[in-house]
Amino acid sequence: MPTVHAESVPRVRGVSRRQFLRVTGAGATGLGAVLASGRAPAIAQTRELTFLTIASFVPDTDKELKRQFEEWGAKNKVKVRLDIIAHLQLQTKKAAEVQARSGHDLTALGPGLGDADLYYDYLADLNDIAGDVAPKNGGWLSPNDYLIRGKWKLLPWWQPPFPMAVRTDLLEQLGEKSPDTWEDWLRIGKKGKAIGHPFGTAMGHSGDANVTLLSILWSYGGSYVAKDGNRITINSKETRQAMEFVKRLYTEAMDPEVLAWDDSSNNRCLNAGKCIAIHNPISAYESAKKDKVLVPGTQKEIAEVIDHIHTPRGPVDRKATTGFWCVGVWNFSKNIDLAKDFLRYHFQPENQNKWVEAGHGFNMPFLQNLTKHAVYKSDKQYRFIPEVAKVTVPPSWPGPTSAASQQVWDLYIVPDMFAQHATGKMTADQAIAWAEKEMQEIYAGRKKRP
Amino acid sequence: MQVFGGDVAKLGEAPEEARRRGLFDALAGDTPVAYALVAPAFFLLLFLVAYPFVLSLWFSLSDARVGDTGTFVGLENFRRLLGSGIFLQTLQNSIVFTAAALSLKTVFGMALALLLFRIVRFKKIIRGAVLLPFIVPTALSTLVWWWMFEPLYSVVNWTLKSLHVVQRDIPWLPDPYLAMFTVVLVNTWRGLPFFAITILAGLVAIPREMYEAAECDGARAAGRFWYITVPLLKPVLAVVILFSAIFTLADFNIVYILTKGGPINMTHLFATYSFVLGLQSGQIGQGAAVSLFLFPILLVVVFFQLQMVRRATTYE
Repeated sequence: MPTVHAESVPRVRGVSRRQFLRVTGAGATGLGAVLASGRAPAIAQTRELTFLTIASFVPDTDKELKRQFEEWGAKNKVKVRLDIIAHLQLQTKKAAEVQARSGHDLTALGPGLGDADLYYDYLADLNDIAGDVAPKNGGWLSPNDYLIRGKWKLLPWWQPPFPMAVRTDLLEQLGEKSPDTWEDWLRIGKKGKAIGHPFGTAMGHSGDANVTLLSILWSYGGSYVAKDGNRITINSKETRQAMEFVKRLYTEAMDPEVLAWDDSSNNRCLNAGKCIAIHNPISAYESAKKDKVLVPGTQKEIAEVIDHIHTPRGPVDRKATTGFWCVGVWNFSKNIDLAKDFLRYHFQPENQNKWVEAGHGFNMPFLQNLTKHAVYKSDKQYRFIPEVAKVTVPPSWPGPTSAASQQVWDLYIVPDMFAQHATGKMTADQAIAWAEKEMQEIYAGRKKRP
Repeated sequence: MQVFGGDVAKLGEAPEEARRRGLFDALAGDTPVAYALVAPAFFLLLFLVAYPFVLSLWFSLSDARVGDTGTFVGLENFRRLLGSGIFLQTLQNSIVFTAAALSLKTVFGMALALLLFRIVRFKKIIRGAVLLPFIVPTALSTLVWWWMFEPLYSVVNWTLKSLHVVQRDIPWLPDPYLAMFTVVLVNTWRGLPFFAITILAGLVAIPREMYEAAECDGARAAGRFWYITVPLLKPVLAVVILFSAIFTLADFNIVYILTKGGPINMTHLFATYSFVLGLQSGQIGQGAAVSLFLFPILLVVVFFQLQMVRRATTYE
């Protein structure tokens, strides 16, 4: 009798043989699946999202980002880790993560949009996020500039626009009012240098040198690559004019030390009370205000005599560039959906507002509504920042951003071209020919493979 | 009985013990032990030296980019480098930098070694202190040098101006030639202890009788140095110069921190230019080609230098 037989089967602590086999069989199958997949079962997994970014020149920006990241993590029960490194370390870190196909889920990219081309095959498509973010924030500033090979491989994140940071007391002393052109700054720099307060812009191997010298090149009507992204256009009469101007600026209005300046040297020059003006974001002013730096020999705070005005215009145009800092998601990440979810959260208007406020406007997003953020009206120092953002273009302008344009930036071809002529090492024609050859070689080398 | 019994037991176990002894003998033989002892070093060299070297050789002959091992392109990377003005400048810089730094280190290293050899009081403390530049992490010590020479607040300039030695700031880093001088100076400062201590070891090993005999023959200090010290130090000098040449040629930290290869690429060395091309721009193939450009020449130099060391040792 089956029932009798079943009852007569010995049971161990209330578990029948059938139950035992069912449970152990399922366990073995599960274990096999876990071992085969190499991943812990969902219930045992601790979801962790990691983010690699760079230390901001305004540290409160990083604090706010961390707060948002942790808040999002708590809401979604995800462990989060934000790693902040110096911006100069980012290049090697990115390369190492791509080479190893392992590392963080989210990563800062830049400076410049070139990373999208350089790491095209390793970045997740962000078309959906870019589409979601834009309407909520009044649209992207120049969406066509951010599309790489027709795709959103990164989201442009923030830019520090480059106005002119000037010493109002020295301008007054020299009888100068409302300077607006590069020629004005040559004249003022010359007068300033005569009284020990030269003009200051980096001309060596630094990002700031790339920014300012490209701005001057465009302002004189020059460029280095055509809109098609193929033809090198550096050899032009406009470039010659820009070079002659920079030579005068270097010899008549600046000290030779600018050839060895790094990205923080101009900040120090202004805050030390030496430079009459520098072409730089508001970071110098922010640190002067925070540290209560005094004008040498006085008890007056230097922040009180600093003002920020529009980036200068040249005979042809008014243009500037800057470090285009971006954010992307590695496609080898196991948490692409989580990473995208955090990006959606971070790019919500209220979070962007708080983040820009924390950065005192240094970190301007590439979103229409954020360029009108209240912070830019909170202090007269910031009044020109949105104006500068309007004339800010990617460093490869008018050509598209590519790995080749990024290499032109990384090798400091433009600053070296200007410096070779300014220092008298080469004639203008020789320096242009040198730069043209280097650029052609870089662009040709990048074309050889799809 | 016990003895007998014991013997019987031994006889019974003989074949097994013989087998065991045979195995022991085999394991204790020279060849397997030698292999076993050499194996860790061999595998270390294989994975930490040979593998990276072969990989970089492959990279230099390929169009590898970050994240992509690339395809074979032969000597294309080297051909492209020879067409680049920045690379030719880098080549020139590397040769000047290495030659200047090596010459300074040899001359001052020898002088310092002779000085250390003569110092008797606080010998251990002084010899230990001399090693400090070599021990402190290069990145850290170079940052201090940068602070001393940086364009705005150079403490060197401040001191020189305060002492009325100069009227205006000396452009240590902005001037292309002074920048090269500065990086050579810092490299010399860092490498000097290696030269001094190694040469000192060579000096200690020279028999005193030779100097006494020379003195008896009326040889003066310069003569004793030139005809005894220098010839007997030749093997040590050759090895120390060889090692230092390789390290100096591959220097990265000093230039990267002080000048980033500027101004106008006048201080770029193979390592810094390779870093920009390979890691910043993602052109790993090109970066590897820069690094390996001088490898064939170095190989020849190393071969002849080692030949010289061998001859000198035989003579000694």
